[in-house]
Amino acid sequence: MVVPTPFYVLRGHSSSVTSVLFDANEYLYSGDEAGFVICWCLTSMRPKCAWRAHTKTILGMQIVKGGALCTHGRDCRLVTWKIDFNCMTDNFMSLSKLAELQNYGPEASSETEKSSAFISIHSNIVVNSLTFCPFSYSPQSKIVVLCNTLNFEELDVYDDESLYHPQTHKEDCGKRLQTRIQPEESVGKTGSVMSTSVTVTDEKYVLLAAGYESGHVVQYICSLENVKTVTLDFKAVWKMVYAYKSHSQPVLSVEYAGSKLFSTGADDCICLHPTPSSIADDLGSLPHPIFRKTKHCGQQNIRIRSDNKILATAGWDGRGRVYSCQTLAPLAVLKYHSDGINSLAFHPGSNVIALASKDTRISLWKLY
Amino acid sequence: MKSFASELSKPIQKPRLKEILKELQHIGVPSPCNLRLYHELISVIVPTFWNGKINSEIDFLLAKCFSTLLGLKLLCVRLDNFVQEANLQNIHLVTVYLELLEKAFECIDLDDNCKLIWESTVLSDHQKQSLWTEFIFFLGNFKITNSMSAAMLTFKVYDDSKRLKASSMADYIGVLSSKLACIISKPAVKTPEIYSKLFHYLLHSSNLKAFINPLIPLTQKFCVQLQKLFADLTVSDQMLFLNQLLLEHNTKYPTNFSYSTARDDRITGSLATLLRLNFSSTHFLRLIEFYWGVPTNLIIKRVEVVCSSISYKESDKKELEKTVDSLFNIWSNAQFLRSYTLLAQESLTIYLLLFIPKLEAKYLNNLSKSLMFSNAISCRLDSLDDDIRMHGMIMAEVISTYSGVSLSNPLAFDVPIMKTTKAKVLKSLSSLKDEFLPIEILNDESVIAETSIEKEETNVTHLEKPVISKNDDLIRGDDLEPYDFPDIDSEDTDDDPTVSRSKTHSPVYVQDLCKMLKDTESFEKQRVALENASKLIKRKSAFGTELRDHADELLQTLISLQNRFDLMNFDEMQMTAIVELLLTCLDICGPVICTNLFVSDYSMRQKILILSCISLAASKFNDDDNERLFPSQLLPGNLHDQFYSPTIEKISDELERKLVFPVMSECKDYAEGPKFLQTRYISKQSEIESKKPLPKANRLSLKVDKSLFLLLTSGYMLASRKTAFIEPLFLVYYLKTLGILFFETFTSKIEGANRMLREYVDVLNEVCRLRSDTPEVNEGLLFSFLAILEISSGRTLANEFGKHLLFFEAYTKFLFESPDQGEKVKSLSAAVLILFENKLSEFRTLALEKLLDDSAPLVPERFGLAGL
Repeated sequence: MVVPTPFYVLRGHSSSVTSVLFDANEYLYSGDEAGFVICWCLTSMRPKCAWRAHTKTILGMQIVKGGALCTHGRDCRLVTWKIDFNCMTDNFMSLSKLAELQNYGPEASSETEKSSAFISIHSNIVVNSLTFCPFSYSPQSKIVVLCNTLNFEELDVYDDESLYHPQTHKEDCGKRLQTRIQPEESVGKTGSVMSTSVTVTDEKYVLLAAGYESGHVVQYICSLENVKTVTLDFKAVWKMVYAYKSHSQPVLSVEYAGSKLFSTGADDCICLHPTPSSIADDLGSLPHPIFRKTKHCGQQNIRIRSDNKILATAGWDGRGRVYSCQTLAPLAVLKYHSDGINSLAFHPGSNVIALASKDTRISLWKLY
Repeated sequence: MKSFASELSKPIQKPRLKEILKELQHIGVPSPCNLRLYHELISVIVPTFWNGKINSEIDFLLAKCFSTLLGLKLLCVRLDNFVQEANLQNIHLVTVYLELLEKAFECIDLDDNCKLIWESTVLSDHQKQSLWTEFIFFLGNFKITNSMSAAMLTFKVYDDSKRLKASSMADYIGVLSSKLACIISKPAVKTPEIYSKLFHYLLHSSNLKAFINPLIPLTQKFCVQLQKLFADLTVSDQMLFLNQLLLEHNTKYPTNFSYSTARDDRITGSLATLLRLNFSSTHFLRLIEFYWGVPTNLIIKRVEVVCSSISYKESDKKELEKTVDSLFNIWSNAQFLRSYTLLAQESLTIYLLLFIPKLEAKYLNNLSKSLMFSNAISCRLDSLDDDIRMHGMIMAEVISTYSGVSLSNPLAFDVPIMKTTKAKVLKSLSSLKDEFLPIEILNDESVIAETSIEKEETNVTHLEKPVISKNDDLIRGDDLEPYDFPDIDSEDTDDDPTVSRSKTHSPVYVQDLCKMLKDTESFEKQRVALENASKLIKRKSAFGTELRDHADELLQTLISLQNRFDLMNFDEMQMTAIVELLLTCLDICGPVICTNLFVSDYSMRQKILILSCISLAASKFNDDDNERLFPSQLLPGNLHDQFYSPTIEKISDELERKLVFPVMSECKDYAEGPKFLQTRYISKQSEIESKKPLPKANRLSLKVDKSLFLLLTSGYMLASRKTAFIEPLFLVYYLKTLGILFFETFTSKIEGANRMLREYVDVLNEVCRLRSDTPEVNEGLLFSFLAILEISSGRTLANEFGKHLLFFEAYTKFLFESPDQGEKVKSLSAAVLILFENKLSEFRTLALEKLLDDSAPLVPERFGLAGL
C-alpha cells in the first residue's frame, strides 16, 4: 500500500491548533491556542463560523447532549455552546474575515454581531484549568471529570446537569458529586493529573482512568447507580482497582475503547492496560499491561476509532501514527505537518482522521 | 608437370583445361618446373580463358592455382613490370591480372599453404623454414596491395565505385585477419605459433582496428590455439594486442546498469583466462590499485578482478587482501566522499563488490568489525545523495552476507531505494559466476571444443547465500495491511526526551568505545570513554565475543592515548582499562602488547605504561584468589585510592620486603644471640614463615609462559642491541615487571617452567653484562635474584645454571662492596648474599663441578692419549 497523504488541509487558524473534534454530522470543530474555535463544514471544506470561545488556550472539546459543543479553556471556564446552524444566513465565512477576526479581536470584526445571533452560551462554569488536563465526559454515566480546583493531583466529578443548566450564572462553579479523588498512598507520589477518561462497562459500572505526571495510570470503578451520589469521601463511591507505572515519563493521554484502556506518554511507549470487569476486582488482581515501544518519544494524544480496530497517536515529531488496536503493530505513518501534533480525532461514521498541529493547520486523512 | 606445361603451351579445350587445373591445385613449391608451368598459365591460359565472371569455374580454378606464394609473387612481378613499362596497350592484360590477383588473394588458404610447404618432400627443413618465412613476409609486407595500387594508379583501370579488396590496406588486413581467425579456431591446427610472425606484421600495420575485429569472437570463447599463439608473441606485441582488444570491448559493451547475462559471463571468463595465463595476478592487483578510477565498463572490471583473484598461491591471497585493504581505505576515507566524482565512487564500489565474493569469510568478518568499515558505512548512510546511500547499504548487506556473521538473519535495508533496478544490479555483482577456466584444465590439450568445456566456477569458494527471510516480529492478528512508511522516519533512541540530545552517552559497545577514544577532538567523549572503559570491558567480558573481537584494536587505542585535555586521573583510568583488558583477554592481548613493546615505535612513557600494566595484571590475578580485606581495615574510598592504589614500585617494594624480611630477622637473631626471655621461638618462626608469600597456581600461570613471559624475554634478547632498551629507566621497569610476573606465576607445575627459568636467567645475565651504574637498575637485578632464589630449589639452580649462579653471586658481592650504589642496594645485596649462602651452601660444589664440566672440552686432558 502506498504511503498515505492527506486528502485535504484546512488552513484558517492563526495560532497553534490545540484541539480538534468531529460532530456526528458534517462539522469539524477546531480550537487554538488563542481561544478561537472554528467550525468547518466537511462537505465544502470551508469555515462555517468562528468565534473566540476562550481568552486562553483551548484544552479540550466534546459534543454533549443535544449536539451542543462543550469547550474547556485555560481561562478556567467550561462552556457549553449552542449553535443554531439553521439560522445561519451565510453559507460560509471567508478566510479574510476569519483572519480579521483572529488578528483584530472579536470587537473589530463585524462577524461577531452576526455570530452572536446564532452562537449562544448555554452554560458556563468556573473550573480549575491551570494544568493541561482537559475535561472528560461520558454521556452514559452523565458525569464530567475535571482536575480538582485546588490540588492538581486530585480529581473532581461533576454532574453533567451543570453543562445544561441554562440559568447558570457567571460565577457558577457547577455541581460537584465527588471531590478529591486520588490514588491510595501505597501508589506513592504521582504528581499532577495529566489526562483522564471515563466510560461505562456492561451498563453497570463506571470506569475512570487517570494518567499522572509520574507515569502512573490509575483506574477507579464505581457502580452506575452510585455515581450520582454526592459525598465528601470519594472512597464511598469510587474504588481504586488498578495502578501501574507504565511510563517512564509523564502520561500524556489515556483513552478507553470498549473494554480496553490505552495510554501514551512523553516516552516512546504505547500501553494497553487491562480494565476491571466488576467492582469486586481488587488492586493487583488485574494482569500486567502490554507495551509497545514505538521508538518515537512524545505521543501527545491517542484516539481509538469507533470500530476499535485502529488507533492513532499525535506525535511531537509532527507525525501521526496509526497502530492496530489488537496487536499494537504499526500500520501507517501520517507525515505532513512541519511541527508537533497537538490533537487528533476520528470521524465517528467514516474512515477520516483529522490531525491538528502546531503549524496552525489541520490535515484530513482517509485510512482503511 | 612437364607434360602439363607442354600441353598448356598448345591450344587446349576448356574441359581438358579444367581437368589440368584441378590437378594443379597443389603446385606452389618453387622449382624450375613449377615456374615454367606458372609462366605458361600466366602468359597463355590466363589472357585467353579468364572471363572475369563471378561464377566461372575456370576463373575459380585459376585463382586457386595462383593462391600460392609462387603464383601470387609472379602476378605481382608481372604487374610491376607493366607499371614500369607504362604501356597503355597492355591495359586489358593488367585488368585481367588485377582481377586474378584479387581473386587469388581471396582464395588463399593459409592452412593449405602451410601444409604445402611444411609437408613437402622435396625441401629440406631449412628450406621449408625459409620458404615459410618468405611466404609470411610476402603477406605481411603488403606486396600485393602495393603492386595492385601501383597498377591501378598507372592504368586507371578502376574508379572509386569499383574497389578491389586487396588494393585497400584495411580490407587486405581484414581479409587476412579473418583467415587467421579461421585457422586459429580450427582445433586440428596443432601449431598455431607459426603464424605469430604474421600476427606481428599485421599488428604493426596502420590499421589495428581492422585486424582486431575478426579476432574478437575468438577471444570470447575458450580457444586453446589462440592461447598458444598469444603466448608465442613478444611482450610488446601482446601489449599492443591487449590494448586494442580491451579498448574494443570497452566501446562495444557500454556501461549500463543491467543484469549480467550468460554472454557477459562467457566473455569475462574467456578474456580472463587469456590474460591470467600470461600475466601474474599481482600484475592485475597493481593495475586495479592504481587505475581504479579509469572509467571502464563492467566486463573489463570483472576481467581485472577475476584475473587478480585467481591464484593458488597463499602469498597471492595475501596480496589480494592487501589490495582490497587499500581500496577499502580509500573508500572509507571521508575525503573520498567529499572530493571524488560520483562516477569514481561508483567505480570503486563496483570493484569492491566484485572483490567481496573472492575473499575469505574470516577476512570479511574482521573487516566488518573494523572501525574503518563502520565509519564508511555510517558516512554513506548520512549522505543526502541517493546513490551514495545506496552504495553504503549495498556494501553493508553484501559484506554481512559473505562474512557469515549472521547467516540466518542477514542485514537487509528495507527501503524503497534498495528496490530500484540499479540497486538490484549492483547487489547482483557480488554473486556473479565467472566462467574462468582453471589453468590446469586449459593446459590439458584434451579440451578442444567450446561446447565440451565444462563451465567451471572459479577456485574461490562462494559462501552459500542464505535465503533472506523478512523478519517481522509483529504477528498481525487482524487483516489490516500496513501502509508503506515514509523513506525517512527517524527513530528516537533516547527514552528521556527531556534530556538534551547533545549529551555524550556512555559507550554501550566496544566499538563505540574505540570510536570515542579515537575522537581526540572531543573532551567530553574522551572523558566519558575513559571513565567507562574498564567498566565496559568488565561487563562485556562476561558474555559474547564482542570484546574478544575488538580486543586488539581497543588495546592499541588505549596504549596510544594521549592526555590532550589534562583529564584528572588520566593515567589511572588508562592503566585500569588496559589491566582490565589484559585480565579478560590475556591470550589475545598478551602477545600483542609484548610484541608491540619491542617492535612498535613507542615512547618511553608508553613502554613504562605497558610494563606497569603487565605487572598490575599479574598481581591482580593473584589478588583475585586472595581474601579481601575486611572493610573496617580499609581507609575511606578516596584516601584508600590515594595511598593504596597499586603501582609497579609499590608491588615490587612490598614483595621485596616480604622476601627479605625472614632473612633479616634470622640474621638479627644470629647477630644479637639468643634472647633469654624469648619463649615463643617456634611461634615466631611460624610467623616469619607465614609472612613469606608463596606463589600458587592461579589463572595467570596457565597462560603466562606463552602469552607474556617468554615474549617479554625473547623480545628483549632480540632488541637488546637498541639503545632504547638499555636505558636505565626502561631496564628498571622491565626487570621489576619480569620479577613480579615470575614471582606471581612461577610454579614447577606450569608447562614451560624450565624454559621460563632459563630465559629469565639469560636476560639477567645480559643485563649484568651491561654493568649499569644506576642503583635502581641494580636494585631491579637484585630483586630478580631474590625472586629466583626464593622460588627455585638450590639443587635445580646449581645443576642447571651453576655458572650463571656463581656469576650472579660475584656480581652481588661486587655491588655490596661498591661504594657508589647507595644504602638500599647495599642492604638488599647483603640480603641476597645471605640467601645465596643459604641456598648454595650445600650445592656450591655441584655448581663448581658444573662450571668445570662446561669448560671441560677446553682442558687438554680430555683428549686423552690421542692428544699427546
